[in-house]
Amino acid sequence: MSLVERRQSNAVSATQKWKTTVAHSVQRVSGFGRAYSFRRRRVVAAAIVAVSLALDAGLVSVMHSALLHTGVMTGWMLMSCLILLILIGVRRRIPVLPLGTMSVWTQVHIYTGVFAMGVFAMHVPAVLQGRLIASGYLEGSLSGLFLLVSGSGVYGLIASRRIPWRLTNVGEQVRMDQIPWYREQIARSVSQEVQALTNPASIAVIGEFHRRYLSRYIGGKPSLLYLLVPTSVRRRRVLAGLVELNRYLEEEGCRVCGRLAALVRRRDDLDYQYALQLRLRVWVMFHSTASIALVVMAIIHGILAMRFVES
Amino acid sequence: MPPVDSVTVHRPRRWDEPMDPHMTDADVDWLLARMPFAGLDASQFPKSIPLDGVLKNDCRLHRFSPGQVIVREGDYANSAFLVLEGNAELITRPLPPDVLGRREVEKRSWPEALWQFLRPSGVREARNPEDVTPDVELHDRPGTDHLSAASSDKSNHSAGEAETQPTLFLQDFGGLVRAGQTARLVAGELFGEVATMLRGPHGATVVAGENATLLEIRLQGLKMLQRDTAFAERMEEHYREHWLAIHLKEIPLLRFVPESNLRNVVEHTQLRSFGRLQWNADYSKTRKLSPAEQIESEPIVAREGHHVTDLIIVRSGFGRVCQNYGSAQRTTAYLGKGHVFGLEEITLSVTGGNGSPMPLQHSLRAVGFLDTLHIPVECFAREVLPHIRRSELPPNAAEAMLHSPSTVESRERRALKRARSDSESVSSVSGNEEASGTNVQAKAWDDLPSPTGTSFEPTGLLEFIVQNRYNNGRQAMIIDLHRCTRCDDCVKACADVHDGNPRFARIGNHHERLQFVEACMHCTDPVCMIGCPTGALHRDEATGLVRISENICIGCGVCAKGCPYDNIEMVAVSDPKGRPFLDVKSKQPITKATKCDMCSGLPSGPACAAACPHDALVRIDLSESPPLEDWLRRRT
Repeated sequence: MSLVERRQSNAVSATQKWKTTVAHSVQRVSGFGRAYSFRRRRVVAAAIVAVSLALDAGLVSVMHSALLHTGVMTGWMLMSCLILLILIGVRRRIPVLPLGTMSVWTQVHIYTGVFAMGVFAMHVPAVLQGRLIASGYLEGSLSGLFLLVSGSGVYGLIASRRIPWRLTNVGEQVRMDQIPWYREQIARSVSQEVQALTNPASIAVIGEFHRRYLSRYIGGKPSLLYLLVPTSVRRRRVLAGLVELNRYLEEEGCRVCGRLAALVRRRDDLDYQYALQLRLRVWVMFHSTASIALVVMAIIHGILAMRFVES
Repeated sequence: MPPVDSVTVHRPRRWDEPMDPHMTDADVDWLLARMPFAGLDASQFPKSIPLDGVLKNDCRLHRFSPGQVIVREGDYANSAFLVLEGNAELITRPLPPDVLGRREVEKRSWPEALWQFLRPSGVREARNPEDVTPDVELHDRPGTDHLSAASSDKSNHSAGEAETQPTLFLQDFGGLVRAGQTARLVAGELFGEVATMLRGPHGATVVAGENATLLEIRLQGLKMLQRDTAFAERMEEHYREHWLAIHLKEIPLLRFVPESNLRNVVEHTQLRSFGRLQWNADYSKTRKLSPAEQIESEPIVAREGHHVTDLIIVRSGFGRVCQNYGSAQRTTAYLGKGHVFGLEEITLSVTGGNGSPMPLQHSLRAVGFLDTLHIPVECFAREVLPHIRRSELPPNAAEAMLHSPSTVESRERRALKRARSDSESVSSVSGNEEASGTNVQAKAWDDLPSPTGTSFEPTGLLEFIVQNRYNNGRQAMIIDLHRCTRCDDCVKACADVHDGNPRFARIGNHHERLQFVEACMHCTDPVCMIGCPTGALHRDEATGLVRISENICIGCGVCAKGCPYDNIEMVAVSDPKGRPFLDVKSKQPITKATKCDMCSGLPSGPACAAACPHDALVRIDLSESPPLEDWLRRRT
């Protein structure tokens, strides 16, 4: 800072202070002023989408007043958006070409999706009349499919932000393809613990518990219900059973029970990791398959609609 | 008396594995009769490590044919060479990589990359024949029958393992000599010692001339030879004369110091080393220690609370800056090459900022290995401090400088001068130009390495990085686990661009939300390169990436064993039809070292980072803290 600038800085007026405070607040909320941040990216992208939708709505209103077919314009917009949205799948499968990073593509995908939902509301008259599904078999199915894909997209956005956080906070960080191997290791450890028992009382008590409950839990796969809604109910029941055994066991047997409880917890963490990772993968498959179906149906709808418009 | 169930073994000794098992006593006698060894004082060597033992076990004799490459520019050094007979030629201009036997990775064009992607070989680790064998002239190393040439009464010996390693001959060597593009090294001259001591790359290629007989001295031997005061002084003198000024000039803090002052600094600077150069050998043990234990085990360079006597500059290696906290010490920063320690304390002491000399506020410890330059306080205050920009000093020190009585008058003069120049510039330069000029200047400053190192917050992350030596990584792969959906798109993309062979797996240590993936980090101190017998593992000078020239990789596995992070894998290679390559003589499979190459052949750059849809994966330089700090700050 030069001497001149230093002198000037001493005479800051109240207005300037107020302006500075406002500027700081805007910077804090929007992330402006920093080199780059996720917050700033969100604010800029959301603003662009909002402005685009406002312009689009204005255009539709003007065209509507002029008795023009707004459906044609919004339909083409939707079709363009859908094509742009499915292009992310193409980029994902071609990593060798400098087509931009997947991160940028994902951001474009998210905000184009939001924009498409807005355009969809303008395109489908039923939405403006308070109904979500359009009338007619094809149009009804198409609008239903659009809402399904949009819904799954919104869910995916939330899931891809929340599930990693949950995965990080539970147990070890294991790859999904390694989970069956880890399960086998745990099952083997449990068997070894049980087989290593020497005390007759422990063999009887722990052996029976292992035969009736533990081996089924450790050797089996998680149920479909658990995969859909992973809870700690099973783990708590098995652990409670192991704790219950302590009163029938001597010191060594209690220690074995403690080690078995640790293995049960580890197994449950693995199942939890498996369920959440599977959910993310199934979601990607579902969303991409539904998106392709949507595009196909949209093309059919477009061809039919254009024929109607031309006629 | 030992316990009954104990197993008795021989305690390993220093020279159980000599550098060259074929060195004989006659060889040693021959060496001892020649300079510089004839002039060494054998009494200065300990009884357990005598001079003749050093020559016999830490040295190897070579007789090179004319045109044979002795060391290549860019190869990392583990030993120095002394010319005994004949001469060697140092190539004074950089040679193209292909001349040195390295096949540089060429960027593929879009169509080529796409074509290769669409037509994978479907074979694990498929290679074309030209990628498996070298395209330079390779010969078996000639027998080191120096003694038959030097004195006929000594027997020839086979060179054993080393002789079977391929060697390289420089094409048109005679032409380079005739064109005056070489400098001659004659008998008695030592080269490669600076690169060896600093764990850096050779600065030039050296090729054997006529009748070149050289002695290769490995680092351990070189260090022992320095016990002889005259030899050590000669080496230090050589370093001072040729290298120290260059190294000092490379330090940002000293870049404005005039030549005359720099000469005085060179004269007074002391060179010191701490820790163990082969830190990778202990790494697997030390990383398991608790931070407190590890800090305690590290050699101390400067202790907190002591009077500051030198400005310490890191020449190579890493240092840990720590501070007493409670009953232990906590890490506050780490220092790498070019960073300085003690600047604030010296400046405050010299300027009298606190009214009395300020003791060191932190301790400095060697993390693994640390090589330092020590500039005495008086010399620093006299020759260097007046030429350091205030903006580069720590804030307290800068403040003290500002209020130093000696600088008040000159500061006022400068202020008036600046005010005048401000008004002149306002009248002559348009506002935009001025702003852009300032921005460019500011950017240039930002690009400079932080002179004092920077600390991470929280301390846990910093200690984790130092503990695991991830600060060695220049292209470390970090995954933010709070964003990673475990989709493995990064691994799939890596496999897709490497013909179905991923160069990393999504595994590695993690600290809180950050996972440090086991992928080549293209280290600042690439210990993997040190033992490479052919120089196949080398650093690309343009990009700084550690590369493998597969055509000259002999599959010895030294690099894979040397990499402390287990990021190099040895693989058996096949041709695109799936037929394994076998050695003609032994019929053993041909193996090659593989690791992350940062997709350097692709037009798109690293596929892993580009493939992550959630901004979870980054390749980042951990040798400085700001890149990681910035990356973490951005994630809000």
